[in-house]
Amino acid sequence: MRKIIYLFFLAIIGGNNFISNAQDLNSCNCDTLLTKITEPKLIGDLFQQQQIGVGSQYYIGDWLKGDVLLDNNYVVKNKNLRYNAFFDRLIWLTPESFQQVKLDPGLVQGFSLTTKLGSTISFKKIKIKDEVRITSDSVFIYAQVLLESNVSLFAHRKIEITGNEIAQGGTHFLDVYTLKNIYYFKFSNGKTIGFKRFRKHDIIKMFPDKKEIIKGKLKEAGQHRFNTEADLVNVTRVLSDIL
Amino acid sequence: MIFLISGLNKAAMFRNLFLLLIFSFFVSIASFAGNAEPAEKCFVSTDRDVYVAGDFVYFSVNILNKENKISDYVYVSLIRNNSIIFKGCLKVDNYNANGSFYITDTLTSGVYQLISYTNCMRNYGTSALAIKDIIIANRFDNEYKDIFNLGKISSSDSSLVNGNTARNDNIPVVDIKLNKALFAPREKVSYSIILPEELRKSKFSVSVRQKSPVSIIHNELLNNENNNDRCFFLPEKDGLVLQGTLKMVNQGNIADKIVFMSCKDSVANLQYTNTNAEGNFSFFLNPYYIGKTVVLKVQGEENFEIATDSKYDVLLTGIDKLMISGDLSSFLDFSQKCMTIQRSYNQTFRREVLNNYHFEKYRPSVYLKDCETVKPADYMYLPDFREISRELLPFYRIREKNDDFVGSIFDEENMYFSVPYLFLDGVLLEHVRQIMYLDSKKINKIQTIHNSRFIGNLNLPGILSIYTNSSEIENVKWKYPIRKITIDSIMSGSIFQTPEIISYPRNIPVYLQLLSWEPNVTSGTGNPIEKSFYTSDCTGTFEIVITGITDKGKGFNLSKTFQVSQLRN
Repeated sequence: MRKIIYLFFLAIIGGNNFISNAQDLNSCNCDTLLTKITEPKLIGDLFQQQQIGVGSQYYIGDWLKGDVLLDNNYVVKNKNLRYNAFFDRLIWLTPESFQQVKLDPGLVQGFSLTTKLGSTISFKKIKIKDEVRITSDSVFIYAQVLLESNVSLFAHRKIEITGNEIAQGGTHFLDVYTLKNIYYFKFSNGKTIGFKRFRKHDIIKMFPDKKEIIKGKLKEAGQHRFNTEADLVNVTRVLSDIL
Repeated sequence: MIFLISGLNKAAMFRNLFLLLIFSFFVSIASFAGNAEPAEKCFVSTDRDVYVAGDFVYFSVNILNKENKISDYVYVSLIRNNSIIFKGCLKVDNYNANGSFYITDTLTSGVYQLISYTNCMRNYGTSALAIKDIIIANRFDNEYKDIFNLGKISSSDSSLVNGNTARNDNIPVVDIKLNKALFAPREKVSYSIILPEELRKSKFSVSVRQKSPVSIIHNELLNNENNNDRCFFLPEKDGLVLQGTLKMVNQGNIADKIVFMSCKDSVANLQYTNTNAEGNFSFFLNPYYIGKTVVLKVQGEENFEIATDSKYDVLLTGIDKLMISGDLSSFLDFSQKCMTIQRSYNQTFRREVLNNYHFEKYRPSVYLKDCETVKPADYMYLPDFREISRELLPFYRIREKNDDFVGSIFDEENMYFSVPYLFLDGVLLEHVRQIMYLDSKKINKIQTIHNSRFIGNLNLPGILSIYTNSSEIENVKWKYPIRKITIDSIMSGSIFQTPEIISYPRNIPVYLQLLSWEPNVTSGTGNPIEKSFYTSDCTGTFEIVITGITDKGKGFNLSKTFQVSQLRN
């Protein structure tokens, strides 16, 4: 008798679990199916460039999981991504064929990458004054978001060829890739100011009419030294309050 | 539990345990059955119950969702005997969608059903649909008045002539206060609606109309749902969903096939999806596709039949009973006269309103970048596409093979030829043979991309996109089945503009049976809702009707009558 009741008890518990699972499946399955069909597809060219050189074309060499914000504000989530800072293009690794796809910059408004340490870094497409091409007024680049506020701070992680190294007994030259950071203040009116070195004197010089106030506020905030990006972020916060 | 059992009478304990388990089982079953109720509910109301052909029907659909994930689109159709008279798709705005449609002179007189639903409500069969019955009388029917009197629609149950009270179960009393009970023609009427606490979150429409001598007894419909998949028809957020099924003409596999969708445009565009094990496929249609004709085709050269789901395929069974509580014949005569007067004096009170919806458009272009463009009109005349490719497209070649043609594009980076994806006027083609007849006069421009591109996981080993001067895509011949579907347009908004009748000169008659129509009213604060309107030259009994849905999903229909008479109070 005990056995029968025990079995009956198990059957009912199992039945209950089955029913509650079925309910759960019902409620979430629609969302899953909908997400599957609504998620826009990433578009780009096959990227086959074999990088031979000293250093890396990538800001972070590993494939990282990340989200892509498209120009129409759709977000494509959890893709294998890598930012090629030499071409200033986002590279996507296709899940089935493991092909590298250079995503169309016209479609990608920004992206975020989750590093192996678990932190997330975000890049955004910003418009800056073109210093290379004289013919055009401005150009879009991907820049890392360091602070978004009234005054925002972006870092353009630019990789450039800075020289050559002789390889294979002098038969080949290898390009030397070097990371160069260019920082941009972006103001609420869309205007940007770029700078490569962040010396206190240079930054204060950018805002001649607010020179004294900035000096005072920096002193108040105890920001005397400018050594790291974190210091620059703090300075941007101060500027954000003033401007 | 074991300890409890050991300390008590075992037989009694087992009995109690047994009863407890049985109870638990039934509770679970009950909760599961409760889940069969749709998460989303619609409620449809109209400005009146009785119309004559030539009238406009104003309707309002209120939507409620338990999970606050309201669908963005709602469907409305007017049906009779399972044939669709009118259909429309509306954008939901603040839990409501409203509009109007014209009743043509070709309709036969009778009772029609205005039904409303969202796509995901279709998973629950006909019982989930919101239905409103309306009467339409057409004077061009020889005996249109007799249809309602002589029992084509039976009028047996006279106990229900005062309306469908079944819907008002447990609905608290709404206080509608009028400044008077008797009004003269063209007099301003002020009234206030005081909602009880329970209805403050409800949404409703308010109609002020001449009271008609009919009421309709709504028959509960048998649920004709034929599937238990509550996610077969997907909810429509931010865009519409196009669903379909592949059917193999001969025996073959329909699972995991790629279905392409593209539409006529000035840019090559493409979406694709894979079929599931049953051959079903779904596309998300963002507002870019609204009103466009899309072409569906299957990858490769296989004989599939492509069937698509129509969102208006809703079959209703049963017919409603019509209860006549007065002289319907005279009422219809009077309605007809009112319309004749309005038409004679060119009085229209319906106003189109511009929709301010912000649609996030996303054109799924195959390429965005500048690519090689050739305009054949800039060169000497070339009689067919083979000649055009030979003379003008250095990376593309066409050769004959087995009485057919093969077109291939040269990939400079990889140094090999591959068969590119061909687009004509934005639409994906199946084969180069379809465009061989195009001469250089027909073609506006040709764009080529001779490297691999990816759309999601799909590799396009090159693209050749041709744009013609006169939409040649309409003339191309397809060897394998395709399906062309025109995506629903979104109904434009319209309102009944309550006329300032007092401003009309006395010598111009203004005969209106509908005095005011407000499709979407909410209270929220609990303060009385103050409204006003003018009576017209029509006299008789009028009613203020409030029809809506409570936040618990229960429909309600409440009214207050008043008199309009030539004699001043």
